[in-house]
Parts: sequence; C-alpha cells; structure tokens
Amino acid sequence: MNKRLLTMLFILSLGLPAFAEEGAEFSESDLQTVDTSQYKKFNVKFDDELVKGAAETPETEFLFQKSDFNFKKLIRLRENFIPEVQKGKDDMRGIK
Amino acid sequence: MKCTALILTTLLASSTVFAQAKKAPAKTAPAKPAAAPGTKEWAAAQRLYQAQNYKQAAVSFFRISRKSPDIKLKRRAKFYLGVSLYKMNLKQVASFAFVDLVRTGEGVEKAKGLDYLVAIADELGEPSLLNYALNHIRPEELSDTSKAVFLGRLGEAALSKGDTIKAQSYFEKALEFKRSENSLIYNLALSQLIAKQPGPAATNFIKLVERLDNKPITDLEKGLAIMGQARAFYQGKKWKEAAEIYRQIPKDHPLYRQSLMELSWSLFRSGQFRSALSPLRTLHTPFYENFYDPESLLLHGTILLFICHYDEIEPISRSFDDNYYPAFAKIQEWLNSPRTEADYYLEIAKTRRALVELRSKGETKIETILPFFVMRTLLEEPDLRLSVTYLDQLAKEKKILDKIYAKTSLHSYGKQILDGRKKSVSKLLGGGIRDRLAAKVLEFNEFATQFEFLKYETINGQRTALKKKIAANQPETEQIDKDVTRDYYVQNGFRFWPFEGEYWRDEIGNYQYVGVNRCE
Repeated sequence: MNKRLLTMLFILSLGLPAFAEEGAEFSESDLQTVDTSQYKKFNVKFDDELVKGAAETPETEFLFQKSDFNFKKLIRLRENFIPEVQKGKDDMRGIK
Repeated sequence: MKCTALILTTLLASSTVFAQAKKAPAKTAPAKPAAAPGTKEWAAAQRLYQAQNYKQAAVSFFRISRKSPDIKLKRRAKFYLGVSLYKMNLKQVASFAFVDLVRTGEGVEKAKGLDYLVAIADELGEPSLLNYALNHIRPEELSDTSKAVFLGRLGEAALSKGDTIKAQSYFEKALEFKRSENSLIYNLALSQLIAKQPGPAATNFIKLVERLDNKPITDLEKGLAIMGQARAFYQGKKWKEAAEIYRQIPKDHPLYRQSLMELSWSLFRSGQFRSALSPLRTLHTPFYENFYDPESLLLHGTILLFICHYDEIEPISRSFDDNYYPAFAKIQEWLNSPRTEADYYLEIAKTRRALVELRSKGETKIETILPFFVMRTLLEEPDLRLSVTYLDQLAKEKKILDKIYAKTSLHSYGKQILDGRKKSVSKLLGGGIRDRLAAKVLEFNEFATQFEFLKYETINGQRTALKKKIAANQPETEQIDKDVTRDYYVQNGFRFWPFEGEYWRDEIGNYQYVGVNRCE
C-alpha cells in the first residue's frame, strides 16, 4: 500500500513544472477571476537589504543631536525678524 | 483726536478730489510769482526767480519778507523765499520760511506752504517737522505726492500704536496715490508681518524684488526686499525656503553680515545643524569682531552643545567673557557717573569719526571711552540713525550757507535756525544713546545668564561623557575632525579651512563646519 502511494506521489511531482508553465500562460481575464481573498496576507521587509547612507557634504548632512536637556531654556528661539525689518524702513525711503 | 478724525474723514471722502490734485511741489516747474503790488524790489526779485537765479532771489525775497509794510506782500515773499531756499538745497532753512507762512498765512499760500513742508519733512526724515505739518494740514489741498506721504505717515503712526489693520489700510490708500513708492510696499509688508500674516507679506516683498529687478545685486533697497522675502518665509516657518533666499545676498552687500546670522537661524530651525554652524564660523572670524552680536555667539555655543562638541564651546564662552564683560563694566561705570547729553553726544561724534576711518583705511586709531562695537550697533537703531542723518544734513546746509550767503542778512537768519536745530537734535540724540545703553545693560545681563547656563550644560555633558567612557573602558574613538590638515579635506572634496581665529578676506562666507555628531 505504502509503495503504491509513494509511486503515485513521485509521478505527481514530475508533473509539477508542467503545471507551473501552464499557470504562466494565464490571460488577464483569467487573473481577474481569481479570488485572492482566500490567500493569506504577508509582508516583506527589506530593512536588511537596504544600504544605509548619508550625503557627505556639509551642505546636506544632518547631525543627530542630544536630546536629554531642555534646549528652550538655554536660548530664546527666534520666531521672526520684525525688529530687523523695521530697521530697514528708512533705507527704503532713501534716507541714508 | 477729534481733529485727526475730521482730517481722516475729509481725506477718505475726498478721494476724487485727490485724483485731480496737482503734482508734487518739488517736481513742478517754478511757479511764476504773480504781479506784485508796486515795489521795485518785488519786481526785481520776480525777475531773478523767473531766471532761476534762486541764490539772489532768496536774498531779495528775504528782505521783502522782513521789511515790507504790506502784510500780503510779506506772506508771498515768505513763500518764494522758501521755494528759492529749497531749490538751493537749504531744506531746513526753507522749512522755517514755510512754517512762518503756515503760522501767519491763509488761503492758497498757506496750502502751498504746507505742501512743501510735508515734502521737506519727508526728505529730511524729521519727525517734529512732519508732525507740525500734519497738524495743520487740509488733505484736499495737498498734491498726490504729499497725500501719499501724509497717508504713509498716518500708517506709520498707526503701526507704532500696534494698530496693524488701520496701518495696512493707510498704506494701501497711499499706494493709490503713489504706486511707484517702494517704501510704501515695504511698510505694508512690514505691517502684515507684525499682524502675523507672513503669506501676504511674502507676496508684497516678492513684488518689491520684481520691481527692483533691474537694480544691481549690491543695491541696498534690493537687498532689503530680498531679506524681507526671506524673513517672511522664516516667520511662516518655511525655513528651508528662507535659507535659499538668504543665500542670494552677495558677500559685498551691506546686509551680508546680517544675512549670515539669519541664515544660521533658518538652517538651525530646519534641523540642519552642521550647515547652521558654517555661517557662524564666518561671523566669528576677527573680520567681524567689531560688532555687538552676543546672540550669534550664544547660538553658536548652543548648537555645539546640541551635538556634544564640548571642547569647541569653551573658546566661544571665553570670547563672550573677554569682550562683553569688560565692555559692559565700562558702560555701567559711565552710566553711574554724572554725565550730560553733551557728553554722550561727544562719544557719538568720536564713534562716527572712527567708523569713517575704519571704512576708508580698514582700521582706526580713534579711541572712544564707551566701547566702539556697542556704540556702532546702537547708532544703527532706526530713530538714532535718523537723527544722525539729520545732523549730517544740517552740517551740509551750514556749509552751503557759509559759502553762498556769508555776507548777507540771510546768513545770520539761516545760521540761527541751523544752530538751534543742531543743539536740540544733539541733545535728543545724546539722551537717546543714554537710554539705549541702559537697555543694553539689561540685555547683556540676560545673555550673561544664558552663557552661564551654557557653561553649566557643557561641564555637565563633559562629565556624563567621561563617566560613560570610564564605565565602558573604551579607548578614545577616532573623530573625523581630528585630522584638520587642509590636504585631508581638499582630497575629500570639502571646501574647508581649519578655523584658528584668523581669516582670509576672500574666504569670508566659505568656512564650512565639518565636525560630526559626538553624542552617545
């Protein structure tokens, strides 16, 4: 019994590449009729494949910063340059 | 207040009258004096005026305005005296003739006199004269140019009171009378920035840049328009775009130093810390050492702290300690001792002479008691600079007066006016500097506290880094900026000059910071 079963499985496995070739010849309309909901979803992660890099010029490189102190305490962040714009008023009027 | 409201109502209601109004007084051809009632001298003065011999005409009109028994003739002579002096570029002296006319005159002559007065006040940038003119004005009698000046000044007054909506409406109305006036567009954009409307402000600055497109790139007005555009983007939190616009200011532009500072802020706010450090390297070369700029020093130190470059913070803190502490000790001592406005004015005069020498020879040997780098920065304040410019104009007029009218009765009249104005403006300027110095002392104290905090954070950071190193028993790690030979950087495609406090003039603006992050 077991020998018969093994023989059948062997014959079937020889026929698999032929099935695969038939599958490759599906037309677009055939593909549309395939119900994909029955297949299990899976995600592919490429993290390990990506090369980590950074631009080498000083113009573009971002520096990582320390984050364990209160930066705002140290310096008053500039929100605008209105006083500087006001300084230019008289120059615009041609008073040098 | 009621009077101002009445003026405004009349002004806004009479826009059709405005549209038909005559041209600016300064630009019209000399008006022909009407036939005078009688005197030979009046006829002679008329002929001189028509021949555009303003030099002699002014002397004749002055004599008539003083000696004629005919009051009407006197008034007319005052008007033509003012116009003749204006044509001779004696604007301040001319203004007194017009003030006299406005005070005693009536009708057409008074209106024309006011028109000239507004124009002179605007050209001299003299606020008290302008306020006088504005208080006597009847808007419907003004020329288009004067209406634009008038509305522009109302806009500025509203702006100084913080009423940005009113200010914007005045500037927009003024632009209807003088579309070509760049300063009105600039002021409109400024009021939009103050009203927290960076978008419309940017649009107006862009309009201004386009209008000045044919001007050379080193033109001051064009630079101000470009900077305004960048500042509007910065305020709108478009820091990357702002940085790109700041980079349009060329190195030989008067605003270049200021643009470096603002560029650093833009790059810093957009998170490009290394790039933000590069303009600061240029700012802190000895080339720019004669400027008061503690904010950029603090920004430099803070970014270095941010990326754990503790060893580089020390020279910055030292620079602040060595330069600012002794300077402000001197200022405090000066403020505590009894000084008059004249003493402050003497220091201003010395600073100005030193500035002239510095600009012409590249160095100065004139020593000021008050720190030069603080004083020159204070003289850049808009109202103080206006007073200084006004004093220069008075000095120019004095020269003209001495040269042309030395032996005439007009000389003592003009001299009295100019000396009186100089005395009061000098006093005002001296008092202004004293108040600003007191404010700077307070500002310095704030910066000093922030620097102390920076020092504390630096030591704290160094301690933590050392503790980590000892705990991990790590050897010292190699840093990219340990090798600071020029060849190394050139081979690697960098434009880099190791910063050792010296500078090459052609390298200003090209210093690049190439340190890496050292935070663990």
